[in-house]
Amino acid sequence: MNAAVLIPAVPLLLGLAGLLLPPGDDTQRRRPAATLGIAGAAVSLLVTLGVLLFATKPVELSAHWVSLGDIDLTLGISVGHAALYVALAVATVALFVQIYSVAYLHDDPRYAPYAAQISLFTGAMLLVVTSGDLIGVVVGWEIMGACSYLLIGHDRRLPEAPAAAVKAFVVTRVGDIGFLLGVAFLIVDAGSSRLADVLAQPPHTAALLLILAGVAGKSAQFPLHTWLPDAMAGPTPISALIHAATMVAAGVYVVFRLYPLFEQSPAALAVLGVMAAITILLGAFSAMAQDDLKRVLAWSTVSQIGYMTGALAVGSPAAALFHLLTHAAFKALLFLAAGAVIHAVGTNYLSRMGGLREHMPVTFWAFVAGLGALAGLPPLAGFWSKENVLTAAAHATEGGETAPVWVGWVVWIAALFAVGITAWYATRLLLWGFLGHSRAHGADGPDWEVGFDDARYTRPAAPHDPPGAMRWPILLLVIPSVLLGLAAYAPGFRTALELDEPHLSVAVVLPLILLAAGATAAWWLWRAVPGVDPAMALGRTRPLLAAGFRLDDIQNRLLVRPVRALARAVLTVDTRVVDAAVEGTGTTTSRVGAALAYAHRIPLPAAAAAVLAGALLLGAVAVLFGAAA
Amino acid sequence: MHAVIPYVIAGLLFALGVYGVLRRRNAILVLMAVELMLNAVNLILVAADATIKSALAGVQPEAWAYPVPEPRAGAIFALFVIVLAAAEVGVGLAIILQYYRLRRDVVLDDVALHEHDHERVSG
Amino acid sequence: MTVADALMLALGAIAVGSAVFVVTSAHLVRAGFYLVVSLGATAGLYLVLGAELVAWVQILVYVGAVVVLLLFAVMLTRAPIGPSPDLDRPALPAALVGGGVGLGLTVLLIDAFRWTEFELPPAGTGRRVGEQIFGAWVLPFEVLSILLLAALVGAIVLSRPDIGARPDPNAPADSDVPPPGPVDESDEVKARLERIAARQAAAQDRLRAQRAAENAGAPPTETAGVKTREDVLREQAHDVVFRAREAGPTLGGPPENPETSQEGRPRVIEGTSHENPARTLPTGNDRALPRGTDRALPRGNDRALPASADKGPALPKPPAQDDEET
Repeated sequence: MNAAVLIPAVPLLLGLAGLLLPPGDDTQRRRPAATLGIAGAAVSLLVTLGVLLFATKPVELSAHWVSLGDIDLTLGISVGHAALYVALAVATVALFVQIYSVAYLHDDPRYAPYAAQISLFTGAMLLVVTSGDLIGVVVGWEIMGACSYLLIGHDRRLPEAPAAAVKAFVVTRVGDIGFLLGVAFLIVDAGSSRLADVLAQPPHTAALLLILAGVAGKSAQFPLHTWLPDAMAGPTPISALIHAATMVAAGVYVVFRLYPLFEQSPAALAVLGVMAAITILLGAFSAMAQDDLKRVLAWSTVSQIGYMTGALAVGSPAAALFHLLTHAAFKALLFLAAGAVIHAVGTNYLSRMGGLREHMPVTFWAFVAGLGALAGLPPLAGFWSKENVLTAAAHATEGGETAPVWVGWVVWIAALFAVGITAWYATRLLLWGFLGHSRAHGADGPDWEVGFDDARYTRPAAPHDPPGAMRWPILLLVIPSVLLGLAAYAPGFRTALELDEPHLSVAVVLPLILLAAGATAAWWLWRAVPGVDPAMALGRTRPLLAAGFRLDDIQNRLLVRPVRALARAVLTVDTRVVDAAVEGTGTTTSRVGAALAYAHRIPLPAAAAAVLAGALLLGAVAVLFGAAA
Repeated sequence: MHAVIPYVIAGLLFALGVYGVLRRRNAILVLMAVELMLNAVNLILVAADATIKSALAGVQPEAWAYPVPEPRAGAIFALFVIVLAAAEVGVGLAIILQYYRLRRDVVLDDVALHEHDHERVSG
Repeated sequence: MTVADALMLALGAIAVGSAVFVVTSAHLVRAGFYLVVSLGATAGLYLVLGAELVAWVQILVYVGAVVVLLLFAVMLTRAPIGPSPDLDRPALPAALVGGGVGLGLTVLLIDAFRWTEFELPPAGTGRRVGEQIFGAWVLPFEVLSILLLAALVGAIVLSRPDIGARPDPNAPADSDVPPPGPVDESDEVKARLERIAARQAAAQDRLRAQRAAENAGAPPTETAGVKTREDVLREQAHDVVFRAREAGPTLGGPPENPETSQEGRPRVIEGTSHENPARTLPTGNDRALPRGTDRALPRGNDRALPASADKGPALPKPPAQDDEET
């Protein structure tokens, strides 16, 4: 028995226990739920820290579970240092989100299931991270999907929440089918579900592509990314935990775990690279035109995860993981800070904000740190990790990697270009949301109530910084957002991730120039025309970008409607043919039965006459035909 | 003896029984017609007993066909049928009387087969 | 054409002819007697065909027992004396099927046997038949005996309503009430009894009027005394007729005379609607009679008519009716 088992087990069990708590609004009921949730994340965090500090070599545990034919299914834990860092990030963000949620959902009557579901989610994510076995990965993967569905739809009063939850579930499920098939493919190939055995086997490209489908679904990559912006209908802490820091990064992490297989398949890496390049630019462009604060962050998440997959595609899993960690820190920070803003002003819309800086300085500076890290401003965390990705892509353009050279070019150009766009929209967000004059009272007067209602705060007279339970997680997250990049200089961390020592060369200049150009452009637009959204400069492309290149509509046309038509056709066939056959058998039988019963009840004399006439008829037939024969 | 005479008599009696069963409304008369039919069958059995043996003269008898040297099976069957008829009349009349007690009537047309309430006689 | 043929033709004509009457006669009783003739002629045919024992058994069992049983049934079901118009139903289907059967059998048998002559077997004796029954056919014989026993038991069970009857769930809990007797009266009988009673009452009234005319000059006390005696006589006569009479002051109460109540107790038939008309019958009858005959009816009238009598303690008679009667 090893302590590493506790990392996923404790939050899972506490989450299941928390589901049994009665929902309610009063403090006595909220306290046990909050205690369970925070305890689960805290215990995981402590155990992870303990293992990280005291374990000298990777923890490997495996128990034989069942044999299906000649396939061995096992359950196990395999925790290297990289996994421990990811687990540390997950547990930290989960703990902060749990603490933050206590204040954020202070009057939500369904807080208890919410906290329990977060715990369950945390456990599932940690299971994916620590599992040494594909079965464990699949189990955690599915629990995460279910929790994501439940938490997106948490606020039932929102009209868009249930639809968003269903959309997220269905779209990720499309990818999960591929993921399940890919996992089954790998397990059957290797004859075992142990990760070590699977990695030892030369893979089929088909299996890897199937896995990539699941990764695209979970990590919101290009064809299956449409659910993530809609998923912002969930409570903001959920967006921070699930849809920014952890779950969407799970796809990247799974590819990281299976990287020895991907390294052998240029085709799979090429697909991943193209997917990544499209996603990077798509997310960045779409983020430019959003009016919803959370949607800006959601599209930037799509874009940043594109960076991670891009890093994987160009052969640098270490850079991907590094970016995953820094992204988890600064994106969680951004979402929690966005929650504070929404909490304060009661709306998601940037067009209703503005001038928040003097009212909420803490949130403002948190945003500055987070957006700087997002844009890659040195020396914040994002700079280092993004620099790593760019370096890896540039390295891939020189050849010598598994991925084709052109994939390196595509990823490098997309990533480089997106640096400028990221800087643009980060600057726009900061300036448009926090500086200038307040637009809280719009043309419609002070009575507007738009946006998410998940907290139902009475809007204060003036926006203010959030209460302590919300402020401290934000402040604590500022630290890794700022300093995590410097961890690349720490030898222990570097060896754990197999990261190269950062060497700042002339190549750094190019992204910095783009960064400066993007930021300056946004600043100039904001400055030149005061009180107007810099996104207006996008002109006619703005609605297109705001709608995410209308991919939703295309998806609707090409997939949703045909599938619905097919479903209706199948339903019609089911009711008209299958059901009708079954029910027709029944009704026919009962009608024949009724007719026979009626015949059975005819008066005795008629029955006797019928019987005797029948006997006569039979006799006549027998005589005639018997004689003829 | 011409065998056709008793046979035809039996056939006519049987036909009259059938006619009676179908024509009569009163249960007792129906029973009487049934007796006629049984009687016709008896007559055929007895006539066959008298005629078929002589018709079979010269045919090598099989062991299973003649369990006893001198078969009078027709007459014995007739006796059995008479016993059966007696039993039938006994039970049938009991049923008729019981029905009469319930309905004050023995008209077969009125026997209700479609009533679902079970009629029972109790003390 | 031998003697046997002639005999058979003659007996057959009798059998068929009387069978025709059996199935066409409008008199129930006559049909029974025609059946006797038909069965007897058939017995004669058996004799001619050499089945002596069968013939005698036919006479004994059929003529002697079955037909008598049928006639008893005719009597017990109160078949009317004289022709009954509603014995038959439309003749066409019966004639079609019956004629078809007759025609078919006749043609078949004639075609089979033509005018073949057979040697008549020696007359069978009871000894030979007995040897075979108790030799080769002993097993069917035993089976038949069991069948007869079953029929016997079945007939008894069917005709005894108190066997196997489940207790009436609606009846009160007084399970010590003895089971009812087999006597049962139809509406017709009740009406007949009432007619008799009315006739007697009318005769008494006539007699009384005659006496009154004769003793026109006599003192009134004597007349009153005579009337009292006549009343006594009349009540005694009614007692004879109805066998059940309630003693005066406890009219309408529970029966005081256990014998009367036993005899008068009707069967309760579950699930039928017979009890309802029976319950409402007495008042209707009383009302229908002329006022002058009111006294002529026995006071325990409804008790004397079993089907209309009490339903046990659970259904006490309405007291208003008794007050009016007395």
